[in-house]
Amino acid sequence: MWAQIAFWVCAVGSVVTGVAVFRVDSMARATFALLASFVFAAGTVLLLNLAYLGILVVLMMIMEMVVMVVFMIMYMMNPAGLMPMTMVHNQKGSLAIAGGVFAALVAGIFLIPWPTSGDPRPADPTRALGEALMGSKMLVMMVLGLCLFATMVATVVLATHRGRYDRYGDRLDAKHPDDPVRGGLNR
Amino acid sequence: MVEQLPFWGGLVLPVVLVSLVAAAAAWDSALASRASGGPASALVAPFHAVAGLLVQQRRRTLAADLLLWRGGALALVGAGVLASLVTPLGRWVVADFSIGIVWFNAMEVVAWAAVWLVGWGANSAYGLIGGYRFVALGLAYELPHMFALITTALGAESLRVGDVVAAQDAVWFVVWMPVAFVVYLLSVLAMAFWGPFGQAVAADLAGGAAAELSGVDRLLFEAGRWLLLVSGAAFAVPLFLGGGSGPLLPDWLWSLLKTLAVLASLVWVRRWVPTVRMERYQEIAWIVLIPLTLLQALVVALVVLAR
Amino acid sequence: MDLTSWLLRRTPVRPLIAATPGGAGARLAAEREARIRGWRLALSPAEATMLIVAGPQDESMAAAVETVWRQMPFPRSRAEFAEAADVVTALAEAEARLRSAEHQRREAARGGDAQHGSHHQDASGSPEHAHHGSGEAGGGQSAPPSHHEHMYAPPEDHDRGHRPHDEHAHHDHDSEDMREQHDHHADEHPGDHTALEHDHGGHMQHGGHAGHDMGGMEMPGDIPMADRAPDRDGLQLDRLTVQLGPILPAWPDGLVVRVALQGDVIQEAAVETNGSQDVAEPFWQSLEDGVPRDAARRLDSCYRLLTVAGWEQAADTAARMRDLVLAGERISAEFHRWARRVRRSRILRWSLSGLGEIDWVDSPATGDALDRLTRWIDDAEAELGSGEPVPDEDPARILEALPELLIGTEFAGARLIVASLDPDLERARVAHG
Repeated sequence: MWAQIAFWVCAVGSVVTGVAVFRVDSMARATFALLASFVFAAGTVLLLNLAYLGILVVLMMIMEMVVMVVFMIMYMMNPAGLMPMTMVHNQKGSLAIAGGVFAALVAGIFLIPWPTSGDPRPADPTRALGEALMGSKMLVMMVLGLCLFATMVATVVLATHRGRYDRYGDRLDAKHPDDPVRGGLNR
Repeated sequence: MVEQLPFWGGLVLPVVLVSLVAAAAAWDSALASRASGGPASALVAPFHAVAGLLVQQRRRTLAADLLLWRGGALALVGAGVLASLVTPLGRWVVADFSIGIVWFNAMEVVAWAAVWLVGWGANSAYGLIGGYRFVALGLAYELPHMFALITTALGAESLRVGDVVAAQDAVWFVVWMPVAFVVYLLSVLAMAFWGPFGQAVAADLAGGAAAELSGVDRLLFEAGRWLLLVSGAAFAVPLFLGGGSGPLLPDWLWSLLKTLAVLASLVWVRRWVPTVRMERYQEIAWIVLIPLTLLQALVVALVVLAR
Repeated sequence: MDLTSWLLRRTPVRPLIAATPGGAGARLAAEREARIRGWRLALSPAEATMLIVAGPQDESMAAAVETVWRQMPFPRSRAEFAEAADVVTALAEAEARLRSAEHQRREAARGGDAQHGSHHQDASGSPEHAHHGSGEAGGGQSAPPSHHEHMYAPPEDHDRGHRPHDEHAHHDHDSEDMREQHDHHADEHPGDHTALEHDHGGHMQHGGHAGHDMGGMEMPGDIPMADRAPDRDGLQLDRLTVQLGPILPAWPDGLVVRVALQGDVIQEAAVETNGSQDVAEPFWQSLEDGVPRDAARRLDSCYRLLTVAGWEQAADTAARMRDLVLAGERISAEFHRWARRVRRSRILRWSLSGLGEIDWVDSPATGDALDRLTRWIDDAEAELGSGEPVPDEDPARILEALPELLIGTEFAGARLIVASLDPDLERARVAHG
């Protein structure tokens, strides 16, 4: 019973705050409505006894939203988020896409013959999930992880405005880098 | 080893935390008064401060985002209390989650959002910069902090706090994970933006994120900050200091004494070091602390594999 | 007996000290008195329960003092005194008023309307705003574009009423009414509640808004917009205009710096000094012979720099020793202990080095912030030892160099630079001739 109530609270809460993202008129409120939506979604994950994943969603989403906020401040020095703004662009197109995806997913729920299992639930579903995902594919996952990491580093290197030649001179022989703000190591 | 209390445990927890906060605040006030040559009555000063904030008018600033501003202060208090749900006092714990360490980390990250909201919501440039500094601080301390937490979980081969305590039966983790311990203490100071990491509410910013708070809102914000410091200090005990283990005294008393010792030294640090500027700490955190904590984790992993 | 008065009697006094030009002596007395009574100084009007206006009446400060006063929540009280000798009675009376429930209720009933805090809100049409908006709109519009070359106004021809327009002119590239809004803005919060200007860099998506003037409509509270300008990485980002001083913790008495901030990086800075009249004799020079006044002044500077650097303990010790020196007591043992600790602090060295570097030959201000702090300690040590006074840098020269030093630094760095120079503005205001 309680699980049912909790599920519906999380489900409705997640949708309502998700809608709020596009209804509020301040960037800060939109960000935090989105965060609330993710936290509710994490609640449903917790109901599946996937405690680790659920808490991790909360943890990562808070950090992500706050990092997003840094960019907000960068582009809009707008304390208290006062400027009216809208999160809705290309209304018709996005409505069509959203409606289509929703219809497809709902159809999927009813049309696909979902497998059922008579096995008892594993003691630690997170571990079971992890083993199912990675047990036989560990090598693939590790290579994938390295590739992702290398991609991130490469993107940053390509995007950066100032490279080492800007910092240490054309011959890389400057003793201290020429930075707008000095770091803590006095390099 | 660790047993979960019935529902009233959740009601006792805030009382215990608030008592620790009161003790820490009185200690801080006494230290401050000794340096400035103020009166000896400083021990009660924090209580007077609470009385003053209770009677003080709640301020509003022009065009503030009240919902987010005040919500931020509340979230800070919530984070401080919820983080301690998984901290055992001796044998008792309010909630014995299987992922206790991750829970603590997630609750403590709520402070990121909370401080930023308090700074941003007031519609003040100083508050904004204060919130901004806290996010910068968060980006600096969080990764080394996570690696420090993971190191203890690795040593115990479990994310459950009770298992971490049990794993220290023979040797406390502080002995063979000193780097993780030091980094953990640094990040406790940082997550409570206390002492050397107090730039978010620093004097140079006229109080920074807290610059526009008054009355109950300031009380909540300050309380939340102290609660985070206390929660962080208390969590160091099961993680690194063997939980409630110790000779003669009952285990809950040992937990309490160790917590008070960690707390007292964290409070005292503020007297001895100036504020660290964010742009300087950022580089230290990423270039020195992250590799150090990774090395520490590697050492622990090898030990765990070998035994 | 009701709860309110019970709580009021326990309310701690948190003074915010506003020193008027020529009020250095009164400020020191207020700081000493607050310290002895265990009153922790407030960092902002919101935290303060008492406003201490130290020094002679000066109309240039009136607006700032009023704004700060308006921003302070109840309960609050105000102490004003011109002479250091009056400090004890003035503070005692103010404390009594603060703790009197009857007085606070009367004040709240009377002055509630003017209070920035409680009642008026979300008010695009609040009287306060309307007043500021129209009241300051008249003066000094057409500043020539080249004017920003001379941002530092020498104190002689300084006229605060009209300066702001000139100072702002160079980054007001938009329109006439933008400029008005800037000023309205700056005048509305001359104290340390910094006012904000708004733009909306990220709203390119709704093109419909781009063209029209957002200054009035839809902007809650009529808050004007910020400019946009390229930042140091070449991006077009918003920026805020913020006025630092004259009422700010650990800030040189009477200094006002207007800065344009992007994030917390200072893009532009203009320095002015506050004060409508000349000072007959600067406080630090007026001290009688025999008092090691340069040592006391250096300790005062150290107190402020250490406060800004966030080292409360060392700052408090410096303030206490300053007061002892001024009272004619000997402090050598304690001074040496303190000096050793400050000199040895690695974190302090690490935070101060490389900030605000000056390469003047043979000047007490040469070097970076750390060099200056070290020199202050050395100077104080020398004078306490031998009684030999030590020279100080000309404040006018510091003020002239200040904008250049501040531009490009982050807020924390800028505050440290100002504190490490600590110009004695009373000296700059002595009548020439």
